[in-house]
Amino acid sequence: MGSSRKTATNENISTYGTGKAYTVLATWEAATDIDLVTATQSEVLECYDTDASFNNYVALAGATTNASYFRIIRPASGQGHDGTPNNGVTFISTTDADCVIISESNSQIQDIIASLNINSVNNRYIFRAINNLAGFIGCIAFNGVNAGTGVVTGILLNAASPDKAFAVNCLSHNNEVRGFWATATGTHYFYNCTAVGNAGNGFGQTNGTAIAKNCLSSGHTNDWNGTWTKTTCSAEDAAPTYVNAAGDDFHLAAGDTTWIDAGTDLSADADYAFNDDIDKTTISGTWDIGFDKFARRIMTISKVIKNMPLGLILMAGLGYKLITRDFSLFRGQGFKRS
Amino acid sequence: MIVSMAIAIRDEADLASGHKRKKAGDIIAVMPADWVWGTAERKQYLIVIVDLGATISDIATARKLEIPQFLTGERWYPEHKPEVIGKRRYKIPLAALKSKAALKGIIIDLNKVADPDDNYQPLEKDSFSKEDGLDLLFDKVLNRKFNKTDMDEIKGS
Repeated sequence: MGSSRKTATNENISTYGTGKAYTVLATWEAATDIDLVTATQSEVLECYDTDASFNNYVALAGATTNASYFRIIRPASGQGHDGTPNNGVTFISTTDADCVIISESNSQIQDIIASLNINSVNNRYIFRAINNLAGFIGCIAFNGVNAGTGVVTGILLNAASPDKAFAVNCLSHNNEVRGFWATATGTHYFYNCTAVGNAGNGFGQTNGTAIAKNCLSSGHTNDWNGTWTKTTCSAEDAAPTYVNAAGDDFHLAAGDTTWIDAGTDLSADADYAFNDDIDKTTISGTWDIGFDKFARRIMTISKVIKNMPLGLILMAGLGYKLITRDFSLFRGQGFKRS
Repeated sequence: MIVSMAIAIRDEADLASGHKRKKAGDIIAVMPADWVWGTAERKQYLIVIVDLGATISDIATARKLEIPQFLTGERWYPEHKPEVIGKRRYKIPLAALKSKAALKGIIIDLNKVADPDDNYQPLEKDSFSKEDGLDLLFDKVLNRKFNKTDMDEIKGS
Protein backbone atom coordinates (compact mmCIF):
# COMPACT_ATOMS: atom_id res chain seq x y z
CA MET A 1 0.00 0.00 0.00
CA GLY A 2 1.22 3.47 -0.84
CA SER A 3 0.81 6.09 -3.49
CA SER A 4 -1.50 5.45 -6.42
CA ARG A 5 1.39 6.65 -8.61
CA LYS A 6 3.59 3.64 -9.19
CA THR A 7 7.31 4.10 -9.31
CA ALA A 8 9.32 1.74 -11.47
CA THR A 9 12.58 -0.02 -10.77
CA ASN A 10 15.77 1.61 -12.03
CA GLU A 11 14.09 4.59 -13.61
CA ASN A 12 15.97 6.24 -16.47
CA ILE A 13 14.50 9.73 -16.42
CA SER A 14 14.35 11.97 -19.49
CA THR A 15 12.91 15.47 -19.63
CA TYR A 16 10.19 16.93 -21.86
CA GLY A 17 9.29 20.52 -22.64
CA THR A 18 10.64 23.55 -24.44
CA GLY A 19 14.42 23.55 -24.03
CA LYS A 20 14.48 20.03 -22.57
CA ALA A 21 15.84 16.73 -23.90
CA TYR A 22 12.63 15.94 -25.75
CA THR A 23 10.11 18.30 -27.34
CA VAL A 24 7.92 15.72 -29.09
CA LEU A 25 6.39 12.75 -27.28
CA ALA A 26 6.83 10.49 -30.31
CA THR A 27 10.61 10.90 -30.35
CA TRP A 28 10.90 9.75 -26.72
CA GLU A 29 8.45 6.92 -27.37
CA ALA A 30 10.42 5.65 -30.35
CA ALA A 31 13.67 5.87 -28.40
CA THR A 32 12.42 3.86 -25.43
CA ASP A 33 10.22 1.09 -26.89
CA ILE A 34 12.80 -1.51 -25.88
CA ASP A 35 12.83 -4.75 -23.90
CA LEU A 36 12.86 -3.08 -20.51
CA VAL A 37 12.82 -6.41 -18.65
CA THR A 38 16.01 -7.66 -20.28
CA ALA A 39 17.57 -4.24 -19.86
CA THR A 40 16.44 -4.22 -16.18
CA GLN A 41 15.52 -0.60 -16.71
CA SER A 42 12.41 1.58 -16.69
CA GLU A 43 11.92 4.64 -18.86
CA VAL A 44 10.32 7.76 -17.42
CA LEU A 45 9.51 11.00 -19.20
CA GLU A 46 9.25 13.88 -16.75
CA CYS A 47 7.40 16.80 -18.27
CA TYR A 48 7.98 20.47 -17.50
CA ASP A 49 5.21 23.02 -17.55
CA THR A 50 7.18 25.29 -19.88
CA ASP A 51 4.24 26.08 -22.17
CA ALA A 52 0.59 26.89 -21.52
CA SER A 53 -0.12 23.67 -23.40
CA PHE A 54 1.60 21.34 -25.81
CA ASN A 55 -0.02 20.34 -29.12
CA ASN A 56 1.10 16.74 -28.97
CA TYR A 57 -0.11 13.16 -28.82
CA VAL A 58 1.50 9.79 -28.16
CA ALA A 59 0.91 6.07 -28.48
CA LEU A 60 2.97 4.08 -26.01
CA ALA A 61 3.28 0.83 -27.89
CA GLY A 62 5.31 -2.31 -27.74
CA ALA A 63 7.94 -1.98 -25.02
CA THR A 64 8.48 -5.26 -23.19
CA THR A 65 7.50 -4.63 -19.56
CA ASN A 66 6.66 -6.32 -16.29
CA ALA A 67 5.50 -5.12 -12.88
CA SER A 68 8.98 -3.74 -12.10
CA TYR A 69 10.17 -2.40 -15.43
CA PHE A 70 7.79 -0.24 -17.45
CA ARG A 71 7.32 3.25 -18.86
CA ILE A 72 5.84 6.31 -17.14
CA ILE A 73 4.97 9.79 -18.35
CA ARG A 74 4.55 12.21 -15.47
CA PRO A 75 5.24 15.85 -14.56
CA ALA A 76 8.60 16.68 -13.07
CA SER A 77 8.60 17.56 -9.39
CA GLY A 78 6.65 20.76 -8.80
CA GLN A 79 5.26 20.83 -12.34
CA GLY A 80 2.01 18.94 -11.77
CA HIS A 81 -1.57 20.19 -11.67
CA ASP A 82 -3.52 21.39 -8.64
CA GLY A 83 -6.45 19.03 -9.13
CA THR A 84 -7.96 21.32 -11.76
CA PRO A 85 -7.32 21.64 -15.51
CA ASN A 86 -6.12 25.19 -14.94
CA ASN A 87 -2.48 24.54 -14.02
CA GLY A 88 0.09 21.90 -14.84
CA VAL A 89 1.48 19.95 -17.77
CA THR A 90 -1.23 20.07 -20.43
CA PHE A 91 -1.49 18.42 -23.84
CA ILE A 92 -4.15 19.78 -26.20
CA SER A 93 -3.88 17.85 -29.42
CA THR A 94 -5.37 18.96 -32.73
CA THR A 95 -4.25 15.77 -34.43
CA ASP A 96 -6.99 13.31 -35.37
CA ALA A 97 -5.79 10.55 -33.05
CA ASP A 98 -6.23 9.53 -29.44
CA CYS A 99 -4.23 12.03 -27.40
CA VAL A 100 -2.58 9.50 -25.05
CA ILE A 101 -2.92 5.79 -25.71
CA ILE A 102 -1.21 2.97 -23.82
CA SER A 103 -0.78 -0.17 -25.93
CA GLU A 104 1.64 -1.99 -23.67
CA SER A 105 1.24 -3.65 -20.29
CA ASN A 106 2.06 -2.09 -16.92
CA SER A 107 2.87 1.41 -18.16
CA GLN A 108 1.27 4.47 -16.58
CA ILE A 109 0.41 8.07 -17.33
CA GLN A 110 0.42 10.11 -14.14
CA ASP A 111 -0.93 13.57 -13.33
CA ILE A 112 -1.19 14.76 -16.93
CA ILE A 113 -3.92 17.11 -18.21
CA ALA A 114 -5.06 16.48 -21.76
CA SER A 115 -7.67 17.44 -24.31
CA LEU A 116 -8.57 16.92 -27.97
CA ASN A 117 -9.77 19.58 -30.39
CA ILE A 118 -10.28 17.86 -33.72
CA ASN A 119 -12.48 17.63 -36.79
CA SER A 120 -12.89 13.98 -37.64
CA VAL A 121 -15.32 11.30 -38.72
CA ASN A 122 -13.70 9.04 -36.12
CA ASN A 123 -14.51 8.66 -32.44
CA ARG A 124 -11.42 9.54 -30.43
CA TYR A 125 -10.32 9.37 -26.81
CA ILE A 126 -8.27 11.77 -24.74
CA PHE A 127 -6.85 8.90 -22.68
CA ARG A 128 -7.13 5.26 -23.77
CA ALA A 129 -5.61 2.18 -22.14
CA ILE A 130 -5.67 -1.10 -24.03
CA ASN A 131 -3.20 -3.45 -22.40
CA ASN A 132 -2.98 -5.35 -19.13
CA LEU A 133 -2.39 -3.32 -15.96
CA ALA A 134 -1.99 -0.09 -17.91
CA GLY A 135 -3.29 2.89 -16.03
CA PHE A 136 -4.08 6.57 -15.85
CA ILE A 137 -3.42 7.96 -12.41
CA GLY A 138 -4.29 11.50 -11.33
CA CYS A 139 -5.05 12.49 -14.92
CA ILE A 140 -7.51 15.12 -16.10
CA ALA A 141 -9.41 14.87 -19.40
CA PHE A 142 -11.29 18.04 -20.23
CA ASN A 143 -13.06 20.02 -22.96
CA GLY A 144 -12.72 17.31 -25.61
CA VAL A 145 -14.46 18.34 -28.82
CA ASN A 146 -14.76 16.88 -32.30
CA ALA A 147 -16.22 19.27 -34.88
CA GLY A 148 -16.74 16.39 -37.28
CA THR A 149 -19.21 13.55 -37.11
CA GLY A 150 -17.11 11.61 -34.60
CA VAL A 151 -17.11 12.29 -30.88
CA VAL A 152 -14.57 12.62 -28.07
CA THR A 153 -14.65 10.60 -24.84
CA GLY A 154 -12.52 11.55 -21.85
CA ILE A 155 -10.99 8.32 -20.54
CA LEU A 156 -11.50 4.92 -22.16
CA LEU A 157 -10.44 1.64 -20.57
CA ASN A 158 -10.37 -0.82 -23.42
CA ALA A 159 -8.64 -4.02 -22.27
CA ALA A 160 -9.49 -7.44 -23.67
CA SER A 161 -10.12 -10.37 -21.31
CA PRO A 162 -8.33 -11.48 -19.19
CA ASP A 163 -6.53 -8.13 -19.04
CA LYS A 164 -7.25 -5.36 -16.55
CA ALA A 165 -6.89 -1.59 -16.89
CA PHE A 166 -7.11 1.19 -14.32
CA ALA A 167 -8.18 4.80 -13.92
CA VAL A 168 -7.44 6.11 -10.43
CA ASN A 169 -7.88 9.61 -8.99
CA CYS A 170 -8.87 10.99 -12.38
CA LEU A 171 -11.21 13.80 -13.45
CA SER A 172 -13.15 13.89 -16.70
CA HIS A 173 -14.97 17.14 -17.35
CA ASN A 174 -16.89 18.78 -20.17
CA ASN A 175 -16.16 16.20 -22.82
CA GLU A 176 -18.34 15.64 -25.80
CA VAL A 177 -19.95 12.32 -25.05
CA ARG A 178 -18.69 10.36 -22.05
CA GLY A 179 -16.48 11.14 -19.11
CA PHE A 180 -15.31 7.56 -18.54
CA TRP A 181 -16.05 4.54 -20.69
CA ALA A 182 -15.44 0.85 -20.20
CA THR A 183 -15.58 -1.35 -23.24
CA ALA A 184 -13.83 -4.45 -24.61
CA THR A 185 -14.05 -7.75 -22.79
CA GLY A 186 -11.55 -7.14 -19.98
CA THR A 187 -11.99 -5.85 -16.44
CA HIS A 188 -11.91 -2.09 -16.05
CA TYR A 189 -11.32 -0.46 -12.68
CA PHE A 190 -12.31 3.11 -11.92
CA TYR A 191 -11.24 4.12 -8.42
CA ASN A 192 -11.76 7.55 -6.83
CA CYS A 193 -12.69 9.15 -10.15
CA THR A 194 -14.90 12.18 -10.72
CA ALA A 195 -16.98 12.87 -13.83
CA VAL A 196 -18.62 16.28 -14.13
CA GLY A 197 -20.61 17.88 -16.90
CA ASN A 198 -19.79 15.63 -19.81
CA ALA A 199 -22.36 15.84 -22.58
CA GLY A 200 -23.60 12.24 -22.46
CA ASN A 201 -22.72 9.80 -19.71
CA GLY A 202 -20.49 10.35 -16.72
CA PHE A 203 -19.53 6.71 -16.55
CA GLY A 204 -20.54 4.46 -19.44
CA GLN A 205 -20.12 0.72 -19.98
CA THR A 206 -20.92 -1.24 -23.11
CA ASN A 207 -18.77 -4.35 -22.79
CA GLY A 208 -16.63 -6.25 -20.33
CA THR A 209 -16.61 -5.77 -16.57
CA ALA A 210 -16.75 -2.27 -15.12
CA ILE A 211 -15.88 -1.78 -11.46
CA ALA A 212 -16.23 1.60 -9.79
CA LYS A 213 -15.24 2.40 -6.22
CA ASN A 214 -15.59 5.82 -4.59
CA CYS A 215 -16.55 7.40 -7.92
CA LEU A 216 -18.56 10.58 -8.23
CA SER A 217 -20.65 11.54 -11.25
CA SER A 218 -22.77 14.65 -11.64
CA GLY A 219 -24.27 16.86 -14.30
CA HIS A 220 -24.84 14.35 -17.11
CA THR A 221 -27.75 13.06 -19.14
CA ASN A 222 -26.95 9.76 -17.43
CA ASP A 223 -24.46 9.85 -14.59
CA TRP A 224 -24.22 6.08 -14.93
CA ASN A 225 -24.92 4.04 -18.03
CA GLY A 226 -24.54 0.32 -18.60
CA THR A 227 -23.71 -2.37 -16.08
CA TRP A 228 -21.48 -1.36 -13.20
CA THR A 229 -20.32 -3.00 -10.00
CA LYS A 230 -20.26 0.01 -7.72
CA THR A 231 -18.88 0.41 -4.23
CA THR A 232 -19.72 3.65 -2.40
CA CYS A 233 -20.28 5.66 -5.57
CA SER A 234 -22.68 8.52 -6.09
CA ALA A 235 -26.19 7.66 -7.22
CA GLU A 236 -27.89 8.98 -10.35
CA ASP A 237 -28.48 12.75 -10.27
CA ALA A 238 -26.03 13.41 -7.49
CA ALA A 239 -25.60 17.07 -6.59
CA PRO A 240 -22.29 17.54 -4.80
CA THR A 241 -21.08 20.88 -3.59
CA TYR A 242 -17.81 21.75 -5.29
CA VAL A 243 -15.28 24.41 -4.33
CA ASN A 244 -15.70 26.38 -7.57
CA ALA A 245 -17.49 24.52 -10.36
CA ALA A 246 -17.53 27.58 -12.60
CA GLY A 247 -13.75 27.70 -12.31
CA ASP A 248 -13.38 23.95 -12.98
CA ASP A 249 -12.40 23.25 -9.38
CA PHE A 250 -14.27 20.09 -8.44
CA HIS A 251 -12.72 19.49 -5.07
CA LEU A 252 -15.42 18.89 -2.49
CA ALA A 253 -16.48 22.02 -0.64
CA ALA A 254 -16.47 22.24 3.12
CA GLY A 255 -20.25 22.40 3.10
CA ASP A 256 -20.62 19.05 1.40
CA THR A 257 -22.51 16.73 3.67
CA THR A 258 -23.02 13.74 1.41
CA TRP A 259 -19.75 12.71 -0.19
CA ILE A 260 -17.20 13.61 2.46
CA ASP A 261 -16.46 10.60 4.70
CA ALA A 262 -18.74 8.38 2.58
CA GLY A 263 -16.12 6.35 0.71
CA THR A 264 -14.47 3.00 1.13
CA ASP A 265 -10.90 2.57 2.33
CA LEU A 266 -8.96 1.22 -0.67
CA SER A 267 -5.58 1.11 1.06
CA ALA A 268 -5.77 -2.68 1.11
CA ASP A 269 -7.75 -3.17 -2.08
CA ALA A 270 -6.99 -6.52 -3.70
CA ASP A 271 -6.70 -5.09 -7.22
CA TYR A 272 -5.20 -1.62 -6.73
CA ALA A 273 -4.26 -0.59 -3.24
CA PHE A 274 -3.34 3.04 -2.62
CA ASN A 275 -3.76 5.79 -0.05
CA ASP A 276 -3.58 9.18 -1.76
CA ASP A 277 -5.84 11.44 -3.80
CA ILE A 278 -5.56 13.53 -6.97
CA ASP A 279 -3.54 16.14 -5.05
CA LYS A 280 -1.15 13.44 -3.77
CA THR A 281 -2.52 14.06 -0.30
CA THR A 282 -2.18 10.96 1.85
CA ILE A 283 -5.63 9.87 2.93
CA SER A 284 -6.10 9.32 6.63
CA GLY A 285 -9.32 8.59 8.39
CA THR A 286 -12.53 7.93 6.51
CA TRP A 287 -12.34 8.14 2.73
CA ASP A 288 -14.45 10.46 0.57
CA ILE A 289 -16.22 9.85 -2.74
CA GLY A 290 -14.51 11.28 -5.82
CA PHE A 291 -10.93 12.22 -6.65
CA ASP A 292 -10.42 14.46 -3.65
CA LYS A 293 -9.95 13.77 0.03
CA PHE A 294 -11.40 16.83 1.65
CA ALA A 295 -8.80 18.35 3.95
CA ARG A 296 -10.26 19.91 7.03
CA ARG A 297 -8.32 22.87 8.25
CA ILE A 298 -7.54 21.82 11.80
CA MET A 299 -5.54 24.42 13.74
CA THR A 300 -3.64 23.42 16.81
CA ILE A 301 -3.75 25.61 19.92
CA SER A 302 -0.21 26.74 19.17
CA LYS A 303 -1.17 27.76 15.61
CA VAL A 304 -4.17 29.67 16.93
CA ILE A 305 -1.97 31.56 19.36
CA LYS A 306 0.63 32.30 16.67
CA ASN A 307 -2.07 33.84 14.50
CA MET A 308 -3.48 36.02 17.26
CA PRO A 309 -2.58 39.69 17.65
CA LEU A 310 -0.24 40.30 20.60
CA GLY A 311 -2.86 42.31 22.52
CA LEU A 312 -5.30 39.43 22.24
CA ILE A 313 -2.65 37.01 23.48
CA LEU A 314 -1.98 39.20 26.55
CA MET A 315 -5.70 39.53 27.23
CA ALA A 316 -6.15 35.76 26.88
CA GLY A 317 -3.19 35.23 29.18
CA LEU A 318 -4.62 37.65 31.74
CA GLY A 319 -7.97 35.91 31.57
CA TYR A 320 -6.28 32.56 32.12
CA LYS A 321 -4.38 33.94 35.08
CA LEU A 322 -7.49 35.39 36.63
CA ILE A 323 -9.40 32.18 36.17
CA THR A 324 -6.64 29.98 37.53
CA ARG A 325 -5.44 32.57 40.05
CA ASP A 326 -1.92 31.96 38.76
CA PHE A 327 -0.09 35.27 38.69
CA SER A 328 3.35 33.90 37.86
CA LEU A 329 3.24 35.81 34.58
CA PHE A 330 3.28 39.05 36.51
CA ARG A 331 6.09 37.83 38.69
CA GLY A 332 8.44 37.72 35.70
CA GLN A 333 8.26 34.03 34.92
CA GLY A 334 6.42 34.61 31.61
CA PHE A 335 4.86 31.96 29.45
CA LYS A 336 5.95 30.01 26.45
CA ARG A 337 4.26 29.89 23.11
CA SER A 338 4.53 26.47 21.57
CA MET B 1 4.02 23.58 -45.95
CA ILE B 2 7.63 23.37 -44.89
CA VAL B 3 8.23 21.02 -41.98
CA SER B 4 11.07 19.82 -39.82
CA MET B 5 11.32 16.05 -39.51
CA ALA B 6 13.14 13.82 -37.05
CA ILE B 7 14.47 10.84 -39.01
CA ALA B 8 15.79 7.61 -37.49
CA ILE B 9 19.49 7.22 -38.20
CA ARG B 10 19.89 3.49 -37.71
CA ASP B 11 18.00 0.21 -37.72
CA GLU B 12 16.86 -0.93 -34.28
CA ALA B 13 16.39 -4.67 -33.81
CA ASP B 14 12.81 -5.84 -33.40
CA LEU B 15 11.90 -7.28 -30.00
CA ALA B 16 11.41 -10.94 -29.18
CA SER B 17 7.74 -10.13 -28.58
CA GLY B 18 7.42 -9.28 -32.26
CA HIS B 19 7.25 -5.53 -31.65
CA LYS B 20 8.69 -3.64 -34.60
CA ARG B 21 11.16 -0.90 -33.75
CA LYS B 22 12.26 2.02 -35.88
CA LYS B 23 14.43 1.57 -38.93
CA ALA B 24 16.92 3.92 -40.56
CA GLY B 25 15.12 6.66 -42.44
CA ASP B 26 11.77 6.25 -40.63
CA ILE B 27 9.96 9.54 -40.17
CA ILE B 28 9.52 9.58 -36.40
CA ALA B 29 8.17 13.08 -35.88
CA VAL B 30 7.02 16.01 -38.02
CA MET B 31 6.89 19.54 -36.65
CA PRO B 32 6.84 23.10 -38.04
CA ALA B 33 9.94 24.22 -39.96
CA ASP B 34 11.21 26.46 -37.19
CA TRP B 35 10.91 23.79 -34.49
CA VAL B 36 13.64 23.82 -31.86
CA TRP B 37 14.37 20.17 -31.17
CA GLY B 38 15.49 18.94 -27.78
CA THR B 39 19.02 18.01 -26.84
CA ALA B 40 18.35 14.25 -26.88
CA GLU B 41 16.40 14.48 -30.13
CA ARG B 42 19.33 16.16 -31.83
CA LYS B 43 21.59 13.22 -30.89
CA GLN B 44 19.13 10.45 -31.75
CA TYR B 45 17.66 11.69 -35.01
CA LEU B 46 18.68 13.41 -38.21
CA ILE B 47 16.76 16.66 -38.60
CA VAL B 48 15.58 17.22 -42.16
CA ILE B 49 13.61 20.23 -43.41
CA VAL B 50 11.32 19.47 -46.34
CA ASP B 51 8.66 21.36 -48.28
CA LEU B 52 5.60 19.11 -48.45
CA GLY B 53 3.88 21.40 -50.96
CA ALA B 54 0.65 23.37 -50.75
CA THR B 55 -1.66 20.38 -50.28
CA ILE B 56 -0.44 19.93 -46.73
CA SER B 57 -1.23 23.24 -45.06
CA ASP B 58 -1.34 22.50 -41.33
CA ILE B 59 0.83 20.60 -38.89
CA ALA B 60 -1.95 18.23 -37.80
CA THR B 61 -2.15 16.96 -41.40
CA ALA B 62 1.63 16.91 -41.82
CA ARG B 63 1.89 14.70 -38.73
CA LYS B 64 0.03 11.99 -40.64
CA LEU B 65 3.49 11.15 -41.97
CA GLU B 66 4.13 9.69 -38.47
CA ILE B 67 1.63 6.85 -38.96
CA PRO B 68 2.78 3.30 -38.14
CA GLN B 69 2.81 0.68 -40.85
CA PHE B 70 -0.44 -1.22 -40.34
CA LEU B 71 -1.03 -4.73 -41.65
CA THR B 72 -4.15 -3.47 -43.35
CA GLY B 73 -2.37 -0.47 -44.92
CA GLU B 74 -4.40 2.44 -43.53
CA ARG B 75 -3.15 5.93 -44.28
CA TRP B 76 -4.15 7.10 -40.81
CA TYR B 77 -5.31 5.73 -37.47
CA PRO B 78 -8.65 3.99 -37.84
CA GLU B 79 -10.85 4.00 -34.77
CA HIS B 80 -9.86 0.47 -33.86
CA LYS B 81 -6.13 0.08 -34.11
CA PRO B 82 -5.08 -2.71 -36.49
CA GLU B 83 -1.98 -4.85 -36.19
CA VAL B 84 1.25 -2.87 -36.53
CA ILE B 85 3.90 -4.40 -38.77
CA GLY B 86 6.30 -1.48 -38.78
CA LYS B 87 7.10 1.43 -36.48
CA ARG B 88 6.46 3.86 -39.33
CA ARG B 89 4.85 3.64 -42.75
CA TYR B 90 6.83 6.47 -44.33
CA LYS B 91 10.56 7.00 -44.53
CA ILE B 92 13.25 8.99 -46.26
CA PRO B 93 15.86 6.47 -47.46
CA LEU B 94 19.18 7.69 -46.11
CA ALA B 95 21.07 6.82 -49.29
CA ALA B 96 18.72 8.99 -51.34
CA LEU B 97 18.97 11.74 -48.74
CA LYS B 98 22.77 11.65 -48.85
CA SER B 99 22.67 11.93 -52.63
CA LYS B 100 20.33 14.92 -52.54
CA ALA B 101 22.42 16.54 -49.83
CA ALA B 102 25.61 16.00 -51.83
CA LEU B 103 24.07 18.02 -54.67
CA LYS B 104 23.87 20.88 -52.20
CA GLY B 105 27.47 20.29 -51.19
CA ILE B 106 26.48 18.80 -47.82
CA ILE B 107 28.09 15.62 -46.52
CA ILE B 108 25.99 13.71 -43.97
CA ASP B 109 28.00 11.90 -41.28
CA LEU B 110 25.56 9.89 -39.15
CA ASN B 111 28.28 9.03 -36.63
CA LYS B 112 28.68 12.73 -35.91
CA VAL B 113 24.92 13.11 -35.43
CA ALA B 114 25.07 10.50 -32.65
CA ASP B 115 28.27 11.88 -31.11
CA PRO B 116 27.26 13.39 -27.75
CA ASP B 117 30.18 15.78 -27.90
CA ASP B 118 29.35 17.16 -31.33
CA ASN B 119 26.40 19.51 -31.90
CA TYR B 120 26.11 18.39 -35.50
CA GLN B 121 22.97 18.54 -37.64
CA PRO B 122 24.07 18.99 -41.27
CA LEU B 123 20.64 19.65 -42.78
CA GLU B 124 18.92 21.87 -40.24
CA LYS B 125 19.81 25.13 -41.99
CA ASP B 126 18.75 24.05 -45.46
CA SER B 127 15.46 22.83 -46.83
CA PHE B 128 14.56 20.48 -49.62
CA SER B 129 12.11 21.73 -52.24
CA LYS B 130 8.72 20.10 -52.74
CA GLU B 131 10.10 18.38 -55.83
CA ASP B 132 12.96 16.99 -53.77
CA GLY B 133 10.46 16.11 -51.05
CA LEU B 134 8.36 14.01 -53.39
CA ASP B 135 11.50 12.33 -54.64
CA LEU B 136 12.71 11.60 -51.11
CA LEU B 137 9.55 10.39 -49.38
CA PHE B 138 8.99 6.64 -49.56
CA ASP B 139 5.85 4.65 -48.76
CA LYS B 140 6.66 1.20 -47.35
CA VAL B 141 3.13 -0.09 -47.86
CA LEU B 142 3.07 0.76 -51.55
CA ASN B 143 6.82 0.12 -51.80
CA ARG B 144 7.46 3.19 -53.89
CA LYS B 145 8.39 6.84 -53.81
CA PHE B 146 5.64 9.41 -53.36
CA ASN B 147 3.80 10.78 -56.35
CA LYS B 148 1.63 13.88 -56.61
CA THR B 149 -1.57 12.16 -55.52
CA ASP B 150 -0.12 10.82 -52.26
CA MET B 151 -0.33 14.17 -50.50
CA ASP B 152 -3.99 14.43 -51.45
CA GLU B 153 -4.64 10.96 -50.10
CA ILE B 154 -2.80 11.71 -46.87
CA LYS B 155 -4.75 14.93 -46.45
CA GLY B 156 -8.03 13.14 -47.02
CA SER B 157 -7.25 10.18 -44.79
